[in-house]
Amino acid sequence: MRRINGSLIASLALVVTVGALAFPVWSYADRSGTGQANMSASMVNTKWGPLTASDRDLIERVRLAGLWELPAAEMAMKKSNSAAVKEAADHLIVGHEDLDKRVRTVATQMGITLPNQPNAQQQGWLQQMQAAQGDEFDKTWANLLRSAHGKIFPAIGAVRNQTQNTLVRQLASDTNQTVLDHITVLEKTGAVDFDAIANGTI
Amino acid sequence: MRRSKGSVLVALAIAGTLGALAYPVVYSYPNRNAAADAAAAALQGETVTTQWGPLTPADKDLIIRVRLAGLWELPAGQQALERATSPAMKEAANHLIVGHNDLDKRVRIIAAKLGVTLPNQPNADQQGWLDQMTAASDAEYPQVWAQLLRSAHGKIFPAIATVRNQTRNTLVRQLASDANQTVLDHITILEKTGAVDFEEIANGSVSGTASPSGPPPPVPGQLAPSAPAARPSTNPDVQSTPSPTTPGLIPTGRPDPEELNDDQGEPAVAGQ
Repeated sequence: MRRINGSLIASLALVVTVGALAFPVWSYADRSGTGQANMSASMVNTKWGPLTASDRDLIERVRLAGLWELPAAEMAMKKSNSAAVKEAADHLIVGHEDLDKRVRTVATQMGITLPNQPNAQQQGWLQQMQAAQGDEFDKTWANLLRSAHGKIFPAIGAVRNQTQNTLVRQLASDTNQTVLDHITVLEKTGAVDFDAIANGTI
Repeated sequence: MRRSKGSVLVALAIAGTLGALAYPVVYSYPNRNAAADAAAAALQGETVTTQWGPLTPADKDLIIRVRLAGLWELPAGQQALERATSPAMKEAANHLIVGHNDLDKRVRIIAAKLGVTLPNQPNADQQGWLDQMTAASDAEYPQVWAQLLRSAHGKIFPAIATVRNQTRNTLVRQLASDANQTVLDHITILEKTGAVDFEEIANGSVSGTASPSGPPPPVPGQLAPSAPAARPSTNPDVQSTPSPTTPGLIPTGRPDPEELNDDQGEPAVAGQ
């Protein structure tokens, strides 16, 4: 009786082990976490074409960009003595007012809820800018903004390529043009630390 | 005896199972890290210093990819001028030829300055795409042509953006900005042919890190709360104009590059 129990436990253990080993093979086919599965899982249909999670992510990020970069640009208009920084701030204000209008139109058309406050990280950047004075302000200002624009730039490219939604496609094109302009005009301030951008240390 | 043989088999099977489970932990993981480290080191190691700033392998890769784009897209554009079935397709072919002649000129000047050796033949993939276009029947030609070109432009587009962000080289920075304009123009004009299959593009480009959920999807029939305009709280005196132009048009006008000299290689297509 004891031996039978032992064999039973050993066999059960083997079955469970083999099952556990085989499970991932079975689940690979449509494993959650693969790009394809994620794309389908998060997709909803709209009359402008399918709307994926990365489409919605871009819409939200464009809105958030306006929410923190407009106050950042106004701060530079007041605090900076550099004509190049003020020129960059001018582009940020005009560019993000324009994009914000576009993104609100797109969000309204598709019924997407937009944030109305910058996120915690962006509020932290605004505080860093508030705390900095003189030349230090120009550097902090230009680098925080250049870094944020540089991070979103390839993400816009990816969405522009793979979106199946006509509204998001046009928004991605418009955002690409605006962000490249902002990157360029921020670099013209001469305050951007390219090593830090390349190393991702801002 | 039969029973003890069974126990031996079970014991062996268990030992084998445990061994297989432990193998990746104790043996193969350190090697995996080593491979990643080696790849990172190779990227770091080849960075060279130039008077225009450091030139990384990623910078060189972009220079070569821009050259390669010209080498296959110019013949593809010329082929379509002859076989085009619609004015939109002719228009797209026209943009490809003008855009890649311009970019090719720029990339040859930059490569000569930076000492980067450029290829003079399309790569095997690109030759395969040209063969597919040539072999396509008249009925399927527009789809084959537009899809292959749109797919290639879509893949390089985020890569250009990454280099535009990261490069510390002033020549590469300008090339990336110029390539961004040209490639977005080509993507836009290829889509206007109406022959692009967006679902296939989407399925071919999803990455393993695609967000599983993202921000919440809209609820059908439910209005989203209205979002107030984000605008300056003061009334700053601003002069600039917004960057987006007419939908469907991407501004690609820019000053001509300086003249070529003998060091700058052969044009991608003679006589263009």
